[in-house]
Amino acid sequence: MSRRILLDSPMAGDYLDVSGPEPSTSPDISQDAMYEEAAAAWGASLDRLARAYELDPEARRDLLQEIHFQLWRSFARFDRRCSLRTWVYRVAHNVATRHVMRQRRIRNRLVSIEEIEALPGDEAHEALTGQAEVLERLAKLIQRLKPLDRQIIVCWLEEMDANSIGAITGLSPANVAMKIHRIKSVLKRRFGEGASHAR
Amino acid sequence: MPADPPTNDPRASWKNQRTEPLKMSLAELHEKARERQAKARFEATYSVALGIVLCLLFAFTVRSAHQLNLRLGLGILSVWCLYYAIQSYRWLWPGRANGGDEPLSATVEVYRRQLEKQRDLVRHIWWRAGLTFCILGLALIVVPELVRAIATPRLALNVAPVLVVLAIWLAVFIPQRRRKQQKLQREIDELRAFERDNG
Repeated sequence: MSRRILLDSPMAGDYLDVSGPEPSTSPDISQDAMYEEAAAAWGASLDRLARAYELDPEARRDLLQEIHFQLWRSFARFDRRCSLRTWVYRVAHNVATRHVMRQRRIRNRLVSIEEIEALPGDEAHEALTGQAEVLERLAKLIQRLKPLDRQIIVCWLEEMDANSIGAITGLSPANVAMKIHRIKSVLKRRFGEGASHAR
Repeated sequence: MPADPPTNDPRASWKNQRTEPLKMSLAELHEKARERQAKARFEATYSVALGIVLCLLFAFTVRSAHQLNLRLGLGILSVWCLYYAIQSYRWLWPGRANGGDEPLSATVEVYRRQLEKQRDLVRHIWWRAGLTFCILGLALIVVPELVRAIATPRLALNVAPVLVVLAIWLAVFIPQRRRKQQKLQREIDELRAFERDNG
């Protein structure tokens, strides 16, 4: 049996095909179990991911709830053709990207990592004194990026390699490597040598 | 407690930031799914019902109108409302909308599809929302009255400010819309190139 349910707003394309019984009446046990496993394993990563997409704490909590909800719902059609981690990050980034795309005023100001790299005199000259400052500067940088670059930088910060990032984004490892190179270059200018650690 | 990472290593700072992982209970998730389903049905029903009610209202008004242009205009507006109801059913009714494979797809593809959706929304707004019917119907009702008013110089002066504002709005809105479409198209082309690279 196949049915479609509304994702979160009544717009074309915002529907998700799911197979199986209505979650509200007879929940799929494996769907619930997979969600619990994913939430336990990547709960902290999802929280960090939400921070990369939303600065406002209240809106961020809503976004995180939405990510968890869509993640749970997505497991109704998880076919194990990719790893659980890839699936979790795909769902999370897709939900977060839709969140950014809906904010028209913000969306129109976003730039690519190449544009930031090309900006003259965009280096941060002030010395960083603490972790909070590093995270604040990093958050400001990420918030300026277009969704694709944001996805790549977040995955890279989560210490994923080019192949894993490629599996999530759909880019070739070569393209991911090129983007990572640019990300490192921008981070090096803003944070110093420590930012260019290649792993 | 782990030692603070060096302040020039944003990756270490990112991974070491304090998180508050969210864990939604299964009962909460099921309840949310039920609420979403009910909300989607309500919104779709509301839109379809609104279209039908307005269609009937205009159809009844046609009977009491005496002038041919007025009858034609109201008739077209009635058809427009019916079209709106059909489109609402087609696009909003849960289970009828064209489904997306969002969680199955890589994030770059989902992002590209969202950009295409935005572009198409602007490009096909006339057809999708049936604005052609609406404008034609309104024109048939308003234009003859306007022509009569313009024939009287004093009344023409009253209409002039509205026409000037309308002209300014069109002069600003049309190029702005074109620029926005071009920008969206450029980004879509870039993403398509990335996807092609991936084979």
